[in-house]
Amino acid sequence: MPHLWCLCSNAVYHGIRVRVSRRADQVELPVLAADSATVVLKGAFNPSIFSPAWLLAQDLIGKDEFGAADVAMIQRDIATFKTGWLNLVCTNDGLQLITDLSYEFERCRDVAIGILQTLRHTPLAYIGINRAVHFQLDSDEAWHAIGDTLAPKDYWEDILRFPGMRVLNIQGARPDHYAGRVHVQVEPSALVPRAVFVLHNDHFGLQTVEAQPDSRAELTLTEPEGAIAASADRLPLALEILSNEWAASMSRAEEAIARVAGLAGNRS
Amino acid sequence: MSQSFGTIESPSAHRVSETLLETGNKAATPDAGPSAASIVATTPGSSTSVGQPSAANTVSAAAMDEVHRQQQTREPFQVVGMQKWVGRIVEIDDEVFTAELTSVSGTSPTLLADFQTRNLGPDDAPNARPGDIVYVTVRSVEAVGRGSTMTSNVRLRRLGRWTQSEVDQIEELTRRKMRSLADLVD
Repeated sequence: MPHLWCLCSNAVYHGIRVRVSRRADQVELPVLAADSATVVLKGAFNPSIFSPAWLLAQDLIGKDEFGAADVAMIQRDIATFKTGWLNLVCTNDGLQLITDLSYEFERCRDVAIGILQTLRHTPLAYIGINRAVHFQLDSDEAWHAIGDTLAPKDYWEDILRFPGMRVLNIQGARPDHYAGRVHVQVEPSALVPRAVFVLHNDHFGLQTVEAQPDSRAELTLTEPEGAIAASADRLPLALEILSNEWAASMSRAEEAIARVAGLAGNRS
Repeated sequence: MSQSFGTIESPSAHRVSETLLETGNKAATPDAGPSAASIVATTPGSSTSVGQPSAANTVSAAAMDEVHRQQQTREPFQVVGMQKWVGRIVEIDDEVFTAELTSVSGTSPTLLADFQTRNLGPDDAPNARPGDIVYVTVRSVEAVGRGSTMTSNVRLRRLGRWTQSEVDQIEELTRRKMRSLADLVD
């Protein structure tokens, strides 16, 4: 095994330094103005449990994060606070963990796993692994090219003046053996001028399926919202998904982001 | 800011999230679902009003200020590569630790790398032990007129608290799995 390099300042090098460049199998992302990952758990929760002190006591955050805690609200029906890089929002029917630092994505996932391992009797029904980005385009032409490709305006121009795409949400069947779907949403960014917002929502129903839909009609008919009842028996599946599917989900998200960015073509 | 592809509208007051997330969370926190009127929606069933950006597409005023500040000070640059590894600490002392790194995507060969222990942070550095897991992220950024620079982050993985009973249970499961695999070989 090669013993190569050190990354950090005042490096202690052993041999050659690794070159970080885009791999052949890695999609080329646009320059991102904002990048976040979110884990969403839907089920039944007791929000008043959650606090920075509780996360520290469970060793899910460190003293640094605890020291940076900013609690907005912890009540019976909702808890919402920030601990450094991690944002947590909990209501009676859901728990949401968010980070907007790309180098903390995995630790955000780990906090979700740690919470579930601690609260092993939590009834769960769904889990979402979401990635959201904003990327800016160099020209109005490039920016409009994305919307015009995803939602051609020819169909609308005789009934709408200056039609413009506001939201596009497209869904697909899951590529694995879990229930649920994959959604990609594209909007003009509300955060950055002349930028695009892309959200990749890996939506898992906490049960396995023998086969995924093999037609659009079947996909539309399957799994109506709320079809999966929350149960603590589903918690191990949530842990399995968070542990084993995270990297694949992030990779799929990057493919979707790159695909949308590529619609700008060379019009920048 | 209200924008739509295919035409340019005059800027107008932009609705931030009407959910509790927006009112209760001061961070730059995109919401959960694709159109998250409910703060924990993971499906697009709970859509926002027509014509409004989804909650995930909005942020707090503080976050927007930060983005605008970055935009004003930003020089043209391009992130030309980002890679992530998961590492297992194999040796550690007060100065340096060695980790065996595996690419998160699993496509690169395993590497051994040395890091300064203090880069784990004052909280984690004293407690890190062989066997602990670290996450390593490296980004290479090319800025116009400045050449290429590399930024890296090393973070200790937190597994939460485990009881001895849980550890024993995992060890027993592992032993059983090893026995079953050994039976296959025989």
